Amino acid sequence: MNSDSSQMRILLAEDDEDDRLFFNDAINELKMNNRLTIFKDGRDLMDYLEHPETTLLPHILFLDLNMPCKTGAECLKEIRANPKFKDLTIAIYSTSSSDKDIEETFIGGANIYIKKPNDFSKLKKVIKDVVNMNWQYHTSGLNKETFFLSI
Amino acid sequence: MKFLKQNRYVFLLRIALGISIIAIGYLTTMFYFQMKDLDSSFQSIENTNTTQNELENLFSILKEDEIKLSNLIIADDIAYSKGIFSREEAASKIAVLKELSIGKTFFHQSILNLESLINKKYILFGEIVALSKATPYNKTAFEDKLFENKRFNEQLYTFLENDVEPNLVGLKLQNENYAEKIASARKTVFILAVLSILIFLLSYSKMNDNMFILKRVNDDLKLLNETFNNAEKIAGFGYWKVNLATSEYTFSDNFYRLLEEEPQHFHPSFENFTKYIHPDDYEYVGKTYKDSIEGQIPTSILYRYILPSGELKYVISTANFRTNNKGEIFKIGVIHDVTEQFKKTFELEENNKKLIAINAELESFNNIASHDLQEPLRKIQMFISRIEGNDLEAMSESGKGYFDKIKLSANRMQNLMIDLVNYSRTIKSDKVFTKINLNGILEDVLEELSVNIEEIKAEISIDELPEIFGTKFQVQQLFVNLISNSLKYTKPNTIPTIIISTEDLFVDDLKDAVNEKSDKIITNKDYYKIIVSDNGIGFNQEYSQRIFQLFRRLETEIDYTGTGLGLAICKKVIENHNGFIKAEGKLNSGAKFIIYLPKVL
Repeated sequence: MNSDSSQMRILLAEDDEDDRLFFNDAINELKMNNRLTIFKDGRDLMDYLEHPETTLLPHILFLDLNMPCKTGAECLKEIRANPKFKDLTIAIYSTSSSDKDIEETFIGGANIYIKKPNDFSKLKKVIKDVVNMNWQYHTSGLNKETFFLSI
Repeated sequence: MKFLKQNRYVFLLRIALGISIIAIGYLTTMFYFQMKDLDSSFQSIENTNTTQNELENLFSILKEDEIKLSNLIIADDIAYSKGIFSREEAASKIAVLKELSIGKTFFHQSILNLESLINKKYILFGEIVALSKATPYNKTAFEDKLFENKRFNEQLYTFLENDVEPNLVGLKLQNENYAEKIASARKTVFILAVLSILIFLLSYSKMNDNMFILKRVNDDLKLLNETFNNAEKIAGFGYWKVNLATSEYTFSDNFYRLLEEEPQHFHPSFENFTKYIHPDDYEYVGKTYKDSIEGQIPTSILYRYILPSGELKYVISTANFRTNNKGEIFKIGVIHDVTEQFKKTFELEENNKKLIAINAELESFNNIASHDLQEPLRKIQMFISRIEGNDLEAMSESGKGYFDKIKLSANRMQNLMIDLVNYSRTIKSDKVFTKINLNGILEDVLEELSVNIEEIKAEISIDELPEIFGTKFQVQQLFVNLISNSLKYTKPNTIPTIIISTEDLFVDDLKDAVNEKSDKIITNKDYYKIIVSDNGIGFNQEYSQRIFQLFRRLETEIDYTGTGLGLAICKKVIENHNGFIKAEGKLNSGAKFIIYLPKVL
């Protein structure tokens, strides 16, 4: 994998092996100029982010909520508490579509909420949409309705 | 029951008694004086008679003495003359007369006059005797004396006739109304007797009356008491009272029975009673009682007995204060055995806890259904889509067939789970109603169903709909389900048309309603009526109730995908909103769902 500084740097924190596989496949099939780094749980993710060697900050983080060791919500809180990651776009990537989770992550400072699709083509579309989204524009007009990405 | 109107009777009786006593007193006094009067009259009559007798005696003595004088003169026997006259006798008669005449002034004067006359008479007698025996005999002087005697006699008789007799007659006359007085006394006695008998009869009849009424009232009271005692027994309450002035307690029979004791088994007192109170409640009951007595505060407390058998009893004691007509204050209370109710409440509470636990379990089950079960299903679907994308071509024809069936089943399972979640959400509905615009809701619904609508090219028309009160997500679910129902059961080779309309004026009954069948008439005054109709395959009207049941699908639907939950959810939502829903259908010519929602909550 290249480590080009112009590449879109994407992170995925996901404890489910199958979902990691689907996500990886989807990114690969999209053939975008990007670099995907995958973590098995929240602690791995945070260790990486806070590691002094991590100089090139990621652009987008796809964050699963229900993970062992450290949940997505905890990661979200820590990241948003750190001014270093103020430009990091966080996309919640979860099976749950409960109002409670949506509300809490919206308040927690996530940029978008994606319910894991049950169709591979939909997954590809979601990733493509999120990666290509004009985040500046999206964030300025962010509200609860636009926060939840409907596929 | 009727009590004696005691006051009025007593007052009247007292007046009657007073009048009677006064009357009898008056009559008795009158009678007494009459008798006294009669007595004195009788005395004076006797007096008069004696006086007359004595007078007659006196004059007969005088006559005798006159005769004796004549004899003496004729016989000329001087020796014979000594002590011949009955002067002493006459004097004694005069003395008697004087005595009898005491108190009768005129008569007494007459008698005194008479006495002096009689004295004069005897002096005359003496003189005549002396003259007749004188020597020389003076014939002239003797004859003069005789003549004087004769004159004196006339004078004496005149006096008797004019002075004494009239007095006597007067006395007699005075005594003649004696008979009259006796008659009047007899009358008085008669009236007295009649009056007494009358009073006696009256009193007797009144007494009899009162006795009768008293007996009746007593019987009534006895019956009431029995009824009360029975009621006490049946209702499981006991009655007590305490006279605050004397600290005297009264416990009813059932009061003892509640304590599992024979009626009046122990002397009624607070100390004897508190022995039965549960040690943990003892202090609280005692304090409440004391405080209530001091402040005269009505009480209502719940506490426990421990009975001699060791059984635990829950009682409610309610008490209040009353003042009797003597001004004594009573605290009167009722003890009610609520053990059964308490046990039932306890059971209910236990059941309630169980229900809450079951509900929580159901909720967690619901979470499992909505999340944990959906997770593997989503993966299955994901793999299906992966195979579809990459490997389907390499499959054999039968493999492809099986694969299609796998895909259909997975999709159906997904729909089922979505509906199940939706249904459970309508069940545990927390009724937070807000004003919602139905047209706005339907916009969202059409947006949600846009893929399906476009897929079958359905035509949907929506009237101007009212604003209602409701839970937004539920109402939205309602229309999603109704419209998807219409979108699902379309007739082949027909452009599916769905009309959502409202009626401003209607008078309908609820005979065909699904959730409340009744003769109740509802009108546009209280309800909105919204109709969702389509030109789909419809259904046989006889199934109009069944289609709303959980997991109930009609035979005709075999070719259609459905979970059997959609209309059940609709029914639930309508129930949550206090509305009614009914379905009208005709096989092959469309279905019509009519919704009534209340205008005011």
